[in-house]
Amino acid sequence: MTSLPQVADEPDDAHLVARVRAGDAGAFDVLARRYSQLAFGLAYRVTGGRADAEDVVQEAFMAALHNIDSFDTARPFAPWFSRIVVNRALNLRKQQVRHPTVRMTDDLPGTRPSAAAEVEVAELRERLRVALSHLPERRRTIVQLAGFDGLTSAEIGDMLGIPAGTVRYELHEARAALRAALAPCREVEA
Amino acid sequence: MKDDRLDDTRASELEPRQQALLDTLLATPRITAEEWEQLHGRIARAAADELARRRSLAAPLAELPDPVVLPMGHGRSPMVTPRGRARARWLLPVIPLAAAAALLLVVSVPDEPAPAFGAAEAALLADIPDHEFSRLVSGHADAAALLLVAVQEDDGPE
Repeated sequence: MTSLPQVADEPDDAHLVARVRAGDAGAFDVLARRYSQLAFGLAYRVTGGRADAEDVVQEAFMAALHNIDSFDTARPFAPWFSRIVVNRALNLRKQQVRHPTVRMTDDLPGTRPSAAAEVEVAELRERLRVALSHLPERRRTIVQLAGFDGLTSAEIGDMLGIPAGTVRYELHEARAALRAALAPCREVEA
Repeated sequence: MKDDRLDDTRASELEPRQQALLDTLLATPRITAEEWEQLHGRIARAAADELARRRSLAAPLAELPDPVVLPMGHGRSPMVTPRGRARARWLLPVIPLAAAAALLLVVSVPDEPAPAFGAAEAALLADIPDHEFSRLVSGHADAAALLLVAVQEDDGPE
């Protein structure tokens, strides 16, 4: 799990946390900038929406601030904070009235394909989106987190409060389901 | 059924194109530097009150702000209604009485002679927080003198 690289003369997380506990706004700002990218990525993976992800990031930093006294500075900050982010994102997703679906984003990295390829890709993406939305919630969350920022099964399990072995099993089942959902397309691709 | 040694690279893995499709579906959207600054600004504004609270707790006693009059109930200020204002006037003499009564519970009788009556009066009349008042008068042996000062305050409404 990575965050923005620390500048050599910037204090480490333990020092920042100590200063945040005393109300140092500058230290809190450094900590927020250091982990906002990680938080946003996690939040977006779970919620599937940019506005929701931003709300989750803000809520997560507030939750971390209010519980900062309980954080053990002898341990790394990223896993502790990541758990808060994922929990907030899952709570938001549960509160949403509409059927939980994976949203499509128009802000895709990389170059755009040709028109014909765009149609094919759009169709495949839609089938994949529907297949994801039909997965059980925990399995879907694991798929969404897997592959993000090099997260391991152990780290995902830590965020969700489940063993790493369970994460691997759920991921295995999820991928099997997604392969089956996309199977009719394989003949076209060949 | 569950295999704890399950390896992510086994055959159940998605085909490369399927994985690439999944990656693009879940990819984090690009955020511009300006958008990051806006988000950081939101976070900073949301955190301002809590950080200020922590700074006030960490500040020395002399730098603490003046005490705030707590609302009497239902979150309303006691001064916003005529009844509230009348009630507040009646409470004015009660506050020093209450402070003196509380002091009786905590004051100890030291070996040194009691301070002069004037020092206790000044402490009671000064606009200082309760904890500062307690610190100033702790050790005052003549609790009766303090109570006498309190009852000599204005004891009726205007």
